[in-house]
Amino acid sequence: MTREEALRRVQEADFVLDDVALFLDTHPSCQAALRFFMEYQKEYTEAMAAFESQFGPLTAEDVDTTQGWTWVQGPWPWEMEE
Amino acid sequence: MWQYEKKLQYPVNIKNPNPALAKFIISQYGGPDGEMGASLRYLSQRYTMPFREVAGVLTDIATEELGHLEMVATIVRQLTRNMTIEEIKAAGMETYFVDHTAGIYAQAAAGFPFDALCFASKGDAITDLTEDMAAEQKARTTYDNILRLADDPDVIDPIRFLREREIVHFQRFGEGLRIVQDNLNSKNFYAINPEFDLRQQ
Repeated sequence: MTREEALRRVQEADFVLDDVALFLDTHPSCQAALRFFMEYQKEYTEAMAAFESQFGPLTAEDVDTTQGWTWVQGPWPWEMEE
Repeated sequence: MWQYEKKLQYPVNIKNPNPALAKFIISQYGGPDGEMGASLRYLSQRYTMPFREVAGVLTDIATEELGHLEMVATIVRQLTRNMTIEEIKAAGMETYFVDHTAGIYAQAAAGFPFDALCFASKGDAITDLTEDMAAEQKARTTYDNILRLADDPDVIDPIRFLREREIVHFQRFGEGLRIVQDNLNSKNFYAINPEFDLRQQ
């Protein structure tokens, strides 16, 4: 998987969580939405782990310090993806 | 508090710099209906919102708007990277350049700086949510106008995403307003201001 593909997987899962969270704010007892949210929590966790193990941390809290301060390595989001 | 995630909510990759487009897209950064005003308006309103679900809507939409602020800044940055003086002159961008070079500055397309008047935090649940619904529609109109002016598919794609989110947020704020009204006197929604007259813990 390329960096771009791995990042898209994270972005897609995170977007689902963002969007369904808004829906759940106003429909907190919708069982279908709760189940759907749970499915994507799992997908998001897996996608994050897959990205970060290969391409570095997406949050400062996830830095593996045995590799040095990787937070400031790799592109910032406003830079062009290659 | 907030924690930064080193990614955009939706990808922005603009192959061809074009400062002429950046000149008006900057309005969704710091203009009257831009993402800075949206995010900080909702974050300001939530502290006195007495209904938990609606405070959740304000918090979560505001947080997403911070991500949109980053996307708009990214669009402007990519459109203005590696500009030459000739390109700045050809795009009519001298007035921005002289004050900010290629830095990202919160201003409207017409050049006036960001104004906190657009926060419109009134401390009344019905008033604020009605304001927020209008704000989402005003932002949607601005994105529609940007789409009429923009001719680069790399710009149009993320702008379309941002436009769609305004419609979703409008829907969620409408549901928030309904939740507020369900908690009020159905014979007279205006009998009290729930943000002031309901005693809080």
